[in-house]
Amino acid sequence: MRDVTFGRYYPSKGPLHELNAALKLLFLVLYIISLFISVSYTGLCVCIIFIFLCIIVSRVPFKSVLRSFRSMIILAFVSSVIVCLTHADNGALAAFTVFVRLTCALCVSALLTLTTTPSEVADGIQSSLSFLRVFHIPVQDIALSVSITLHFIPVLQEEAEKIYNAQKSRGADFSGNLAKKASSVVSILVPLFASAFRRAGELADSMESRCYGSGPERTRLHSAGIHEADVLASLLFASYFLFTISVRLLLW
Amino acid sequence: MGAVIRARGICTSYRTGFGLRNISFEIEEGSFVCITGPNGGGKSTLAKVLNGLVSLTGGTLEVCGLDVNDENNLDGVRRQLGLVFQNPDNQIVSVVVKEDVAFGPCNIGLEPEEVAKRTSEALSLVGMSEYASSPVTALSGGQKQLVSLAGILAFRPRIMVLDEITSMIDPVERRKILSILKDLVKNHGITVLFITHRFEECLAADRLLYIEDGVLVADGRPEDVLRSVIKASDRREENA
Ligand SMILES: Nc1ncnc2c1ncn2[C@@H]1O[C@H](COP(=O)(O)OP(=O)(O)OP(=O)(O)O)[C@@H](O)[C@H]1O
Ligand SMILES: [Mg+2]
Repeated sequence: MRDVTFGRYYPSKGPLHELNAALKLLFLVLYIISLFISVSYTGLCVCIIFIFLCIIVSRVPFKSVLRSFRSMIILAFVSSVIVCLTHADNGALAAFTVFVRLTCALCVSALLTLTTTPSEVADGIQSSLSFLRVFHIPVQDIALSVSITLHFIPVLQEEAEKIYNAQKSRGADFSGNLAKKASSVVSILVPLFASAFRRAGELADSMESRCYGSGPERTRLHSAGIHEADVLASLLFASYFLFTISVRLLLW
Repeated sequence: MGAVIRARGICTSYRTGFGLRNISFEIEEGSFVCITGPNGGGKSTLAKVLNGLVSLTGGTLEVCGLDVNDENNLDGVRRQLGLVFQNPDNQIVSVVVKEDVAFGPCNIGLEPEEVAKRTSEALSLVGMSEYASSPVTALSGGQKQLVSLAGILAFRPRIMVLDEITSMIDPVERRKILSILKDLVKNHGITVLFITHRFEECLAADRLLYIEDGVLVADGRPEDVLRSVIKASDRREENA
């Protein structure tokens, strides 16, 4: 449980941090599409190289990116092994495809949350989905929920750690066979849920007392618009995206 | 200057049975009032009542001339009465310090430039400017309390209700906060209701309310209130 650092913001002044959040969300979606367009070794390698370059450019230490989804790599590995064994012909490529798609998708999402604060993500969602308001979908509330969720993942994780240490210091035993382990996990989960509910209540009070949902329209801090860097990034990303398409069409 | 808060016989009740009972008081605009009393006495409950977060089961409450019991007034009340809660961990909604301070001003739809101005102003007032871009998780408990205070200062409220906001703050910083608040009261005419357990803070106030078991037991000059409370508890000990 203590490895789950997914969704933690990494404060730094890297170029990816400065990009428009809505644009980054768009890149995320397009990148995942490009993963599904690519079906050959060449195509998939292009995707890998691209995400590597992004990490280098972002100035987020490679270790942090990796750590944020360490536990999920195992999942990707297991599923690719299963695919390899169940595919009659060309199992290796199928397994490689599954592995690369999963890890790269995780990697790019981790990179997004590492370089974008949750409220920037919220503002990004809000501005890119604002057309849905025509259908009376509460885009602003959804966006804020996403940002609070992202904000509280590390908070709850720290809390879990505290409870774990508190139980341990009072003699709780977290070793032993599976049944025993499961029951000790419950002893962490119950107080964790209790505190999460209390937190949620108090947080709602705090938001309400600060006039959330009262005004006609919330001001957005990050409606900074499009800068030169955003244009440059879009051009670079567009060329990457076209490149993956042409790899698919020309090399298959 | 007139009264900004008028409470007449207010009562509340939680499902657990606890409730405020028949509390009446008036707060003059531009005064610095402390509220104290034993744990579980109902101080935080009173703070939430003033903000309309806990509804009344009896009595009337007016804040800045607005009836708090009327749903339609709540927005107006909350714009003028800022509340800082006891637990700093559960009132910060954003990851980055300045975004959290800007949360309130954004909610009432101020222009982004105005929001930015108020945010940096509020942060410098509590001495947290250098942390403006830090993630909140990197702060200590006391620093989080300062950020929460800044989040309310950025509203520029007429009344501030501060629930034990100095509980995790070191003595030096605490004196600084107290003098900032006194300055706001004196030079900007802001009314401050300060909930605290500390005698020295109580003594710094213009007036002290003592709440125990949901009842307003004593109300008056801090020295008088504290003296009468101490006398009463001595008498109880003698009887026991
Ligand atoms: N949301 C709630 N639901 C039910 N009971 C509550 C709730 N909040 C507080 N209480 C109860 O109301 C009583 C008064 O609580 P309150 O928080 O107002 O006390 P307090 O004077 O602020 O105490 P402290 O000095 O410890 O902060 C307590 O007995 C508490 O258990
Ligand atoms: Mg309290």
